[in-house]
Amino acid sequence: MYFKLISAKYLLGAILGVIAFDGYGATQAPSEILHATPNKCVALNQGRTCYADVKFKVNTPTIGDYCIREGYSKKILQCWANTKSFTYTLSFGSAQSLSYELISQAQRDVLAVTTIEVNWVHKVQTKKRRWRLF
Amino acid sequence: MINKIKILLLLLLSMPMVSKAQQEYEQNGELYWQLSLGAFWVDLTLPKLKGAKSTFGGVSILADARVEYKNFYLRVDSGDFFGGADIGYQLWTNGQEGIDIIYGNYHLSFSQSGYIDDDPTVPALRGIKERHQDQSFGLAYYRSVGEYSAVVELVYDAFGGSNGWVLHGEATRNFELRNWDVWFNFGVNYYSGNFIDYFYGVDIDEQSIHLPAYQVNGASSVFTQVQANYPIAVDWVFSAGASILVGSSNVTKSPLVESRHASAVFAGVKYVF
Repeated sequence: MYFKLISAKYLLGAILGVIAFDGYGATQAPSEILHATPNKCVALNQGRTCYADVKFKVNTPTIGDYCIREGYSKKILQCWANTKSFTYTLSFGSAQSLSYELISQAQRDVLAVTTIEVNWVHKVQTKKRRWRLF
Repeated sequence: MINKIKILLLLLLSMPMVSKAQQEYEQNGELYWQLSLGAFWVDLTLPKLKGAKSTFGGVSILADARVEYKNFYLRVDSGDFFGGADIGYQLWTNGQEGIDIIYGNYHLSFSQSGYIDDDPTVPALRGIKERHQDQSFGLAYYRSVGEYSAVVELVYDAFGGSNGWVLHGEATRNFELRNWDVWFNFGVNYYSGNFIDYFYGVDIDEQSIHLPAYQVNGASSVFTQVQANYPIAVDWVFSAGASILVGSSNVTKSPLVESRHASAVFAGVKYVF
């Protein structure tokens, strides 16, 4: 029930862009529940896989069993039991932006979502340099 | 160096025009440009001319530019300290290989002041005519296979003073190490007799007691390069590289030339517009 409350709050927050309120009157934004550093990955060229060691910090209001999973494939990265805060380091490698979700293991509700944005410097592959001097 | 500055000024002055060009590219997909400006620490050693300054160093503002319209292109690279700008027209390509018509420079200019026009006359070079940079046109054939690429260029100094030709070939291996882009380059140049004699020969009307007449009948050089690029942020790239070039030994017999080695080391950051 509590997770459903948080889940509903997250959705409301995500849609309206406002801070969600927990059941006890304190405020905690989804970004405070699940925080990723860095949340941007920059590759040299468009379409190239971007690599980063992304550290997720999770800080939930209550003790419980939680998992972090990939947003698109729903693949579980790791789960933690009987805790309210933990960290996880992901070896990120993708050519496109990916979202990650914090879910409650029991209800599978999405509590928070964070996105690792993939950007690039060059739109096209730059041609190699040459040396032609005598 | 002076040509680089001219190109840089040209690029800066054409910025408003280029900005419009980018918008047009987005609309019709035919015009493309990319420009970057950076601050680089450079340590440069040119083949030593007798008595002249041949080492240069310090922090320089360098530009990378790439402008393409249909099959035409202009490319200026900060890592290419001597080649200046590449202007070309893509005649044919199948994606993996192609043939371009190219224009470029393959030799540095110098005079009796050495490599820098504003420097005082060097006694050992006194009386020589100015060697203008070549203005070479020709064909380039290039081919890419996976992370390997190769190019062969055959050019003729059509609008310079040498009436000579150059054969240039190089092979590149690119490595993608996580977000780093590292590439190694190896190449050779062959300069025809007319071409290299224009630069390193001494004509009859230039000779003196200290400067005997000399003719060079052709020369070659080999070079290797390594360069690494890393994206620091969305619009910022760290770049570092090194190059070494060795010319054939017959060139050092010229009364004008003291060494046949050149090298360049550079490192810096650039902003990509």
